[in-house]
Parts: sequence; structure tokens; C-alpha cells
Amino acid sequence: MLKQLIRVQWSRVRTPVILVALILFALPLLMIRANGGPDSSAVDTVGWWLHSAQVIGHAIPILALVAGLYLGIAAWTDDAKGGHVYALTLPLPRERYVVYRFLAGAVPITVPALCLLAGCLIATASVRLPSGVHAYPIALASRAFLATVVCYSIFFAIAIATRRAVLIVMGLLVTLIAAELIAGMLHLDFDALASAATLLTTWPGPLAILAGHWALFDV
Amino acid sequence: MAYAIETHELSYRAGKNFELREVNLKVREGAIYGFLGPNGSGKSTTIKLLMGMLRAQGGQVAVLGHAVPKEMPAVLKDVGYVPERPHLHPFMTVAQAIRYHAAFFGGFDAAYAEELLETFNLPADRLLSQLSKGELGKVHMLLVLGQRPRLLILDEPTDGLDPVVRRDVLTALLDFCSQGSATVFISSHLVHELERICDWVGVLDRGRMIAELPMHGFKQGIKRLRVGRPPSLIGDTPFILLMREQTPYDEIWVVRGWQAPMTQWFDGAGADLKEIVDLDLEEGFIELLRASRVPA
Amino acid sequence: MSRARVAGLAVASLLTLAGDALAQEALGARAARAEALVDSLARVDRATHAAALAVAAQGRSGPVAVVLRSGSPAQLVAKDVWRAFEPLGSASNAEIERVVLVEDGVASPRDSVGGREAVVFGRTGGYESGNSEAIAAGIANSAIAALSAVLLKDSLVAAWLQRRFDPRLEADAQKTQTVVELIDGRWTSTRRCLSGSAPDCAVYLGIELHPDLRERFPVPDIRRLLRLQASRGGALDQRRYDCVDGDDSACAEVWGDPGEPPAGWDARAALVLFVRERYGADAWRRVMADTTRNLGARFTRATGQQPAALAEQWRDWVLEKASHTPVTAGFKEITLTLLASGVLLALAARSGRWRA
Repeated sequence: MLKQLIRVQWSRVRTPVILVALILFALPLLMIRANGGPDSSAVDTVGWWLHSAQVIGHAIPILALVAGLYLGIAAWTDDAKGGHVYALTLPLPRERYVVYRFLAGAVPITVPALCLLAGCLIATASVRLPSGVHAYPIALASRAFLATVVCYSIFFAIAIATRRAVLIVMGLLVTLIAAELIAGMLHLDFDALASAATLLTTWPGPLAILAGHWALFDV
Repeated sequence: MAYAIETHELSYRAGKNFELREVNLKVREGAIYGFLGPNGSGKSTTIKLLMGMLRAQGGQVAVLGHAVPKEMPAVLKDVGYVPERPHLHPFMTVAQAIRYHAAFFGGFDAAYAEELLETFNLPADRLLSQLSKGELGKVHMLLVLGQRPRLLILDEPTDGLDPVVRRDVLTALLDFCSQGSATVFISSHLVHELERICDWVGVLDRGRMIAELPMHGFKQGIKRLRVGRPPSLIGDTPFILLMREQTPYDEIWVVRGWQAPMTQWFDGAGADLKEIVDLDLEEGFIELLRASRVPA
Repeated sequence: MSRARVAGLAVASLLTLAGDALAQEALGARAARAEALVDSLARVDRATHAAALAVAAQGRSGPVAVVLRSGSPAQLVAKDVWRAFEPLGSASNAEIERVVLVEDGVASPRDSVGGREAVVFGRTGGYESGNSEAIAAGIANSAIAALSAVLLKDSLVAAWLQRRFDPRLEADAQKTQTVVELIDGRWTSTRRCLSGSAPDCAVYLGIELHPDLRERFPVPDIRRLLRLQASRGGALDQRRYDCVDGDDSACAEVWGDPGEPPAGWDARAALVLFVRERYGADAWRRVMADTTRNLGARFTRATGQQPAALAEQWRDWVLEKASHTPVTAGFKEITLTLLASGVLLALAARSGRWRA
């Protein structure tokens, strides 16, 4: 049952997922291809690896977000097209179906994560790091996987949310914006949106995983 | 008497314009039950309530002895459902759709499905999105028949299909029924189609059940009578008078539950029964609807 | 009244008195008083020392209250206190989690210095306060005050360092800032130092035995700097244009004596900390007591290490110990992901949309 769901889901999403996986595979290699310009020599490149690892590393959470968004929505696309009728005619409890659907949608995430890991390992093996500078291929790939899973979960839940739930979230957002506008007009020191963003992106906020460090090479 | 489907005072309201009112359905096990009604009468809503897709606002539903929607997984295990609109994932091939469907139903008969694939002349490797409407209808039927369900709930399964496909689908359905004791609950507004296959019929109009009777009773029991010198006051009658309509010379009556000895009642009432016309199912259905819509 | 508040008020009174007394004194005398003051406050709290040193060095006489508060996030409240810290270079690194400074009833939380600093190469300001105390604990208060005082007296070291500092509170920050500087790789020697070249580390720090300015800033560095200057709209004279155009002799000519090693202040301060930590406070005192004009020679005599070897040790120490937020995917991250996904999955399972 789950195997079939996974198989079907994979055939549904494989093209974009493979594309993201290829980009993630290429990113670490791009990090080590970056060089310091005309003045640089081989011995200068460590700083540039670190620098480009930092800069290019920023693309990873963005890709995690994009992949999560796509997979989260794709998990429900076909069910939604048929008004969820087919799912409702299957002889298993609704909650179990949601869990299966979630797992089937999450399994493709392993492909980009493994590709990133492969890219990181190749990149790490291709460079000779001086003492004190380290590579974090496994941690980076695991972090990318976890970040994609979180993003996927969010969009998975949004894609199946009732109109009421969507309205509640939208209402909350509008309230925050309105509160900030009013506070601005009254010259009050109140930054609701920034506070909410901080709350979400710092531990134990659900998006804290996205806000961490994303460099393959570091000290 | 065991019933495959039983509803009691089933009620559901959707917005201001539609309401299902106290629907009582009794579908015997092994029956092929035609669920008739014009478009918008509430057939699909009733079926969704039976399938647990909507929650009733009043009354009870039991399908195959299980309470709906509380025991849905147990119900769905033995129910094959063909919805009004296609709902299968369009990017799958026919073969993939069969494998996918089979994964959820333990008793799926792959050999039978293979047989039906040939009978229906379906291309196994073609995507569902590339199939014609008729072919898609056949795939739906193939999947539910492959389940070998105890109860088939078919919501306008032949709607929009050409006559050849419609014949193929219904033939396959009858073949399946002849192999066992499955119950079929089939809704349609195409009355003549049901006339051929159903042994029971229920009629729904404007959210109300207006009739539920055996097909033979329906076909034989509804008559159009031409009555001369009709009595102005009609007391107890051995039949049910559905409708009376005045013409320049006499009156046209539509009655239900007619039997031949009832002609004597007209002699007793001083009326002159000039003509008895047998109505086919479609005419009977129309008369039934007309009668139900006449204000009391 | 809480114990912390009583302690705070006591410190406040002491500081007020100290500030009044110190206001008119010369720099050296003030530092000596600061040392005495630090010793007298040793029982109270290490974080308080920052305030005490700051106020003492500033010669401030205003009514500054220092209130200790344990276990809760605190804010540096008074506007002027921020400035009061600056002479010792420790304002942004003070143990602000445990100190609240209030001045004249002014209570504007806007002037808090407790906020996070920007993330630079994965290193935020947040970690500094947590770790600095441990490092500070190993250093005697009197030694710190003495160090501060001595630093002010030695013109060579003062010029090399450019700023005075409080080593207790900045150790991690300096290591981290040094790493940032190394990664930033502005100069040739900086980049080569990060890549593991010990002689380049010595050049970078300005402790090479035979300082050659052209080694400190090779022609490509000078050319790069001039290009940068030109790109920012700065006017260049003919010789500078010649340098940019590829004339190496013009580069040597226009650059003159930069007088500075390539390393920034944090890297140099980190070297002081490294020498103190690895070779002891006495080694640092020997550096300071030596009157040789060559800084590299001073370090060599004090530590017994050649500049390149010392610089290499310093490099490894900085890279290994700099506080940063490494790429991690451990228990915390996995737990967070599972929790977040679990909650969202539960919400999805409860959704009524697909039943409607």
C-alpha cells in the first residue's frame, strides 16, 4: 500500500526533484571551483572556499524551501483534482491515509539530500584542507534534508487545510501587519512581524533549522 | 430481512436551496436497486452520505450492517464505488491504476481484472489522461469489479457514454452479479437503462423519496386510466391515485398499485373506465414525478 | 529588597565614589586606581568589573548604579553607560545577561546592548557573553587591570594593538573576529596564513624578525587597494594610475610606509591572549618589559618561539577555539524537525477539507 503510494508519488514528482537534486549535487562542486580572481594562487584558495561555501551555502535553504513547497503541494495535487473522492473510497482510516500520503511525499526528499551528500563528499575529497579548517558534508546534507522535511510538512498541511484554517492564518498575518502599521503611526516601539519572524526562526521555532549555518567548509 | 443499505430519516442540508428530507432507503442484499431521480434531486448527495463523504445532519445510515460514517473502513472494504465524475489520478497508466487500486483492496482479483481489461479492450499502457470518456468509464468499472465487492454503489456510471460503451459496462455489471450475490445500488436519470437490469427501484425528487418498490410492481402497477363520468368525490380506493387531469370529455387518472380486479371499483363508483394504458418505466417515472409535484 | 539589589546598590555607591575621585587624575593613576577598585570588587561579580573598569577609566562622576540580576535577561539601560564602556573596548562583549545598569531613573530599553549582532560567516555575537566568563575566570583581576595599565604605557605595543582592551571579556570575540578576518582574506598574507603558511601568519601579524614593508603588502595588495580606492571615486595621481596599470616600482613608491601589519586589531589582540594563555602572564610581562624596538624579537625572547612558529601556534589556536555556529544536524535539529512535522501532520490529519 505504502510502496504503491511511494511509487506513484515518485513518478509524479521525479522530474523537478531530479532537477533540484542535480543543482544540489553541483553546489558543493561550485564552491570549490570558485577562485579568488586574477591575483590568487593555489595557496590563497582556502579563504575563497570558505567564502564561497558561505555564500553558495545560502542557496541550500532556499532550495529546501522550494523543494518543500513543491513536494508539499504535489502530495495532494491529484487527490485534490478528484475532490479527494478516491482517497475517501479507500478502506483505511483517514488518519492513516494522511500519514501514508505524508511519507510517500517525503520519501523523494531523500534523493536531493543524497545528491547533496555525494556532491559534498566529492568536493571535500577534491580539496586539501589546512589544519584548523574542516568540512561538514554529512551535517550539511542532513541539515538540508531536515530543512526540506520541515518545509514539506508546512506546505503539506497548508495544501490540505480547510478554508477556515487558511482564513485564520491570513487573519493573523493581517492583524500583525495592521498592528505594526498602527504602532508605526503612534511611534510605538513595536515590531510585530520581526518578532514573529524571530520566534519562528530561532530555537525552538519550527523554522529554526532554516536559519542555521550552511557552509560546507568552516573552521 | 437483511439490507445492504438502510437509511432512516436521513437528512442533509446544503445551503438554502437544497435539502435532503427524511430519506428512508432499504436496499435488500442481492438486489440491483435503481436509484432514480431527475438532475438535482439529491441522488449524488445521498450516495455521498452512504459513502461517508458527507456527514448527515439527521437520521442514521447503515451500509452492510456497519454504521456510517463511524465504521467507514469496514464498509469500504466491501464496497466498490464509481463516482459521478472521474477521480482517478490522470498521470497513471491503466496498468498502474490497476496495481495501485489492488494495493488497497486485499481481495482484489487480478485475474478477473485482466479478463475485464481484454473484454473492455483497454490499452494497459496508456495514461488515464489520454483515454476517452468511455474508456475511462470502463476503467472505473474494471477497478470496482476487480475488488469483487459485496456492494456496488454506482453514481450515474454510464452518464455521457455512447450506447456501445454503455452496453459493455452494463453487461459486465450483470455478468458480475450473475457470478455471486453482490448488491448493486445504481443511480441514474436514464430510466430505460435501469428498466433492463434493476429488480428494485427508488425514486427521489427534490430531496424526498417518493417511491420505493420492486421493478415489476413499478412497471405493472402504474397505469394511465381514461375515466368517463368520474365521481366528484373519491373516497377509499384500492389503488393509489397519483394524479387526475380533466379533458373536455373525461378525466385522465394515473394510478399506482393497479391490479385487474380493481375495475369493479369504477362500477361501484358510477364511473366509466374507458381505457387502461400500460406505462413503461420512463412514462411511469415521469407521471410519478408530476404527481409528486402537484400541490396537495 | 533582593540580595542582588543590595549588592548592586553597594556597588553603585562604590562606583560613584570611585568615579568622583578618579575624575581629575592622570591616565596612569586612573589605571592604578582601577586595579585597586577591581580588587576591591572581586567578591561581587566578574561582570561588574567591566562596569567598574569602564567607569574608572572614563573618570566618570555621574550617579551610575550597577544592579546585579541573576537568572534573567538583563539590559544595559542607561544611554551613557554604553559610551562608558568603550574606552576598554568591552561594551559589546560585557556580560550583559547578568548586569543591569541604570542611570538617573532613565529606563529606555532601546539602548540595550544585549541584542544579537549580525551573523558573519556563521558567527553571531550571541555566543560571546556565554563563553567569555570561563576564560575570564582563569585570569586574575589584578593582572587584567595591570595589563590594561601597562598597555597604556608601552607605546610600541599600544601602536601595534591600536586599542586598549579587557582580555577577560573579549577572548572569544577576538578569536572569532580573527577567523572572520582570515576568511575575508583581504591581503595576500592573510589568505596564505589561513591556508597554513606559518611565515605568512607572522607577516600578517607584524611580528616577523625582518619586517619588510613590501612583504607585508605585496604589489598585488597595493594595486588591489588602489583599484578599490578608484572604484569608490577616490582621485588617483599619475603614479598611482601607473601602479594600477602594472608598474610595480610605482606601487612601491606610492604606497610609502603603511606602518601597520595586515592583521586587524582583533587578530593582534588574539595574539596577546594566546601568549598569556599558552605561555603565561609572565611571558606577556616579559614582552612588555623588553625595550627592544622589534616586536618579533620581544615575542621570541618572551616565549622561546620563533615568530613563524608562534604565529602558526596562534593560527591553530584561533581556528580551533573561535566561537561559531558550526553546521550541525544533531539531536536538537532532528527533534525539532520531528516535532514540527508531527504537529503539522496532526493538523493535516484533522483537516475537514477532504471530507467536505
